[in-house]
Amino acid sequence: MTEHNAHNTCWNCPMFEFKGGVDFRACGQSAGEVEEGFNMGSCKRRPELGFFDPSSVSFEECPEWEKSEYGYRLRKMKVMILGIDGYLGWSLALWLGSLGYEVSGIDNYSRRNWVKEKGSHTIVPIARMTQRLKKAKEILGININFREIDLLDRNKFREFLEEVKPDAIVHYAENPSAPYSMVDDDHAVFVQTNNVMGTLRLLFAMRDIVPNASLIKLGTMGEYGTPLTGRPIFEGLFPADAVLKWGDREWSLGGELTPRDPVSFYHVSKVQDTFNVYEACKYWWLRSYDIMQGVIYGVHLPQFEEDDDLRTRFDVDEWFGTAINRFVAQAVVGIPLTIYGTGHQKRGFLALMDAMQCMTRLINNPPPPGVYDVVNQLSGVYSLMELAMTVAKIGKEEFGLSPKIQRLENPRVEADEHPYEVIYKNLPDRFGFKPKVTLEEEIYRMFKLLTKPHIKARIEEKKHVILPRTHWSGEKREAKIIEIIDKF
Amino acid sequence: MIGLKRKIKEGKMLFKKSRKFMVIGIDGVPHELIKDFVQKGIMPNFKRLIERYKFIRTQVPVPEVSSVSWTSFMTGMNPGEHGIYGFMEINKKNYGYRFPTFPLLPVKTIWEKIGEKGKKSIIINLPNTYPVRKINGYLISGFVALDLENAVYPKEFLSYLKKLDYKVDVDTALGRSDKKFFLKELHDTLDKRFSVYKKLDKEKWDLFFFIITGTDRLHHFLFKAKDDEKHENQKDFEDYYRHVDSVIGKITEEMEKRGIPFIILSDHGFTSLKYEVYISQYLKEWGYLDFEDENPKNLKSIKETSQAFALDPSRVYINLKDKYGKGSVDQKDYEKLRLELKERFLSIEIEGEKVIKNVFFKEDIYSGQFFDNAPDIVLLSNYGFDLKAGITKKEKYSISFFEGMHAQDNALLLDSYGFDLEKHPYINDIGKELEKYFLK
Repeated sequence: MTEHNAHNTCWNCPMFEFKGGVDFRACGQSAGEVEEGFNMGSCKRRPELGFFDPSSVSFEECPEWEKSEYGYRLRKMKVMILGIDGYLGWSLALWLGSLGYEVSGIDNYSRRNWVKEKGSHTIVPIARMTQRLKKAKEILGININFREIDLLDRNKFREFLEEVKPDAIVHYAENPSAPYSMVDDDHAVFVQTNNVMGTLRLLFAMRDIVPNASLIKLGTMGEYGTPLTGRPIFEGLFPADAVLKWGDREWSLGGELTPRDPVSFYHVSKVQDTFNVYEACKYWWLRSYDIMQGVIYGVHLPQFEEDDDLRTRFDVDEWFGTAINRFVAQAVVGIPLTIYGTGHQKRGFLALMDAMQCMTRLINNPPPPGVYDVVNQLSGVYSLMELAMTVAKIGKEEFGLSPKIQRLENPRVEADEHPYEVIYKNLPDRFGFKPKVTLEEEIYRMFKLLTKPHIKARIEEKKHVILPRTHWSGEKREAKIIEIIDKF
Repeated sequence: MIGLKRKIKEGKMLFKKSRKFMVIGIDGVPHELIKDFVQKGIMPNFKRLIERYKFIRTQVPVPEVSSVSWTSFMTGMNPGEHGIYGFMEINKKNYGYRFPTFPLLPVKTIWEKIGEKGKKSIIINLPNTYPVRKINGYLISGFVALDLENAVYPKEFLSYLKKLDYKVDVDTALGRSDKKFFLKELHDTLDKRFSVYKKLDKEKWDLFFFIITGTDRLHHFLFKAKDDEKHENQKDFEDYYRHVDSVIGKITEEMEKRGIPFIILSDHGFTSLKYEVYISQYLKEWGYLDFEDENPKNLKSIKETSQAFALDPSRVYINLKDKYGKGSVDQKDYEKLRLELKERFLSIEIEGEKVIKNVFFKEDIYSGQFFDNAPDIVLLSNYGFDLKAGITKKEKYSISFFEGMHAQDNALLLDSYGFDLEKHPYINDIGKELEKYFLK
């Protein structure tokens, strides 16, 4: 079978150093890409090739790209993970490290501190970073080049970037919480400053230090909102045949950014990031995937099973917990699974291990210079009620629990009932992504881990911070219970 | 006007004590343009030079492009001996495009040969010398030079050039998008090059190359302005030549003052362009070339059944079985195929005019150690028809945005020294004479 990226060429490769375009018809050279003529540059790894047209060599022809389970991959590819201590960051570090990538990363432990600030803790205990790194090396043989750095610390970050010179940068170093950004003006200002300014610092640093590296930037499906017209949620940009019609006139919308309708001040920060990244690609020829990620759930990667100190964090509190993860924790300690509003809101979801597969495929497939591309990263769309029902059913049938579901008044400002047609074809069609984890399988694994006594005890300890008290209106009170469902 | 023989004799006498030599290149300038502009009073310095020294029409090897011509001059060799047949080559295995860089040039240049004998050279803006290789002196590469960092030897000279905001070449994208800016940049680039000349002339040197390439760029975009009074850029065209003339005047006066002989030469001529003609599209129509993609971007998707393919500007290769990754032609069919193609090429007509003037087989025009790499057929077009490989084109020919095209047989040489040359010498023979001057 042909790998999804077999026909990519040096245009996509971070090792290719573009030098300029040459139009021999006019004996002319140009600093930019030329439409007709030749674009030329050289390969950092194979200088013996001299200068050549980047479309001359494909990944399957290049000895620097080797076949792997997730498409062709650059030998000894250096991936820097920003926010490496987080739920996804740490998972990706072990995942990529096991596959043979050279992993580096930064974190300033913000996530640990934010969760602590809100009076909660990760219910799956995690080790200190020094211990994590030690165990990764001892047990998995992975050397992770870690530095405690805040992305907003311009000089320190630039020094580290200069030292590592990564080929790909995965940007997870943002505050990921909608409710946290809605607590008060201090929190909103903090989230937007941290996220938007951090990304801006990163973009300038990439321009100056690693302009050829690809940026895999974590966005969120929440950037799009839920258009009530029923318009499909395209993958960031309108498809080529999209048309805007007004009166008796028509315009092509192909390639334009689709409208965004963020659903919290946190989501606004992500939208702002999108524009900043988009502009940087345009101005400086950076290359980026903006990943409109659905809600990630789950606890399983094979690497975690090797040692408890290798596990990633798992939050279930009001601010940092997410739907499926929280449902399972609630079921384990016998508190009703909380649904906001009708529970008919639909969202995209993806299991942790499938998310890792997507990231690997994107890392292996850098966009050409100047290209801002978007993927909607999810493997299925479910209503929250459907998910709660599935969790309750597995809890009951497989683990002998007696879960209930409670509908609460919705603390958020969002449509309870809405059409939701998400297009998520890029990852399967262009990047060869095939989900490997079923919803039921991962929920089962979660129950298995979370019912362990020491973890169950940690949920019990923090069960008072699970229910929502942060209302988008600004009120601070527990959400009222509308209905309790115990038959399903 | 004094006779040619007398001029030669006088030149040799005038400069006989010198052991230095100055070469001024004016890229793409045709012999008759200078004569015309001298007559019109646009180039008073050249007028003086023509009156004093030998001024002749020259020719260049095919294909008539700067990389082939200048390499032929700087090595004194024909392409079969130095191996450069165009700006781009292909990887024989996968048909990917490659740019034959200067470090890969397998033979020595004149400055390298004389450098071994301790002679110092300064080379400014000579095409096809990128990235630089070591020189006893200074080398600043000319087109194609994709960055300044690799276009300068010694490296220490880079800071001066950067401070000067020296440009290897005008960004030709401007020629399309903003003519005024393009013209301004042409003047600016020439001024800066001249500043570099003035600075480096203060160094000790034996051989100096100063190449002006703006002339070629101007011609590609605005050649019709030369003769067309209604052309909106006619004055701009002439002004640029006034500028070139003034720079040449200053350099040659200085050389004469110091008793240093010099030549002024172009690497090919120029003529007006009527149509761009795409060889690949003819090969496709005749059934010799086919691609796996409907819209091929390059030769990589060539079909295994293809018998011939083309490279810019006018090179045709037989897709031989043992030579190319997807070769299909047996050696025994080679001759027949070439003859067949020759006949077809000679029959091409556009609006009743013959397009191809001459079809050369490799053995007609090349000899030497790199003969095997030579294109099997090289085409020479009649004036007005600019040949291109044109793989991405849909049509066989089209009206071009460009106004001028290279010509093989109307380049020029102004020779103050009096080289021993034929009536219409080839540029490589001029290079050989220069070599003799130093190594006799």
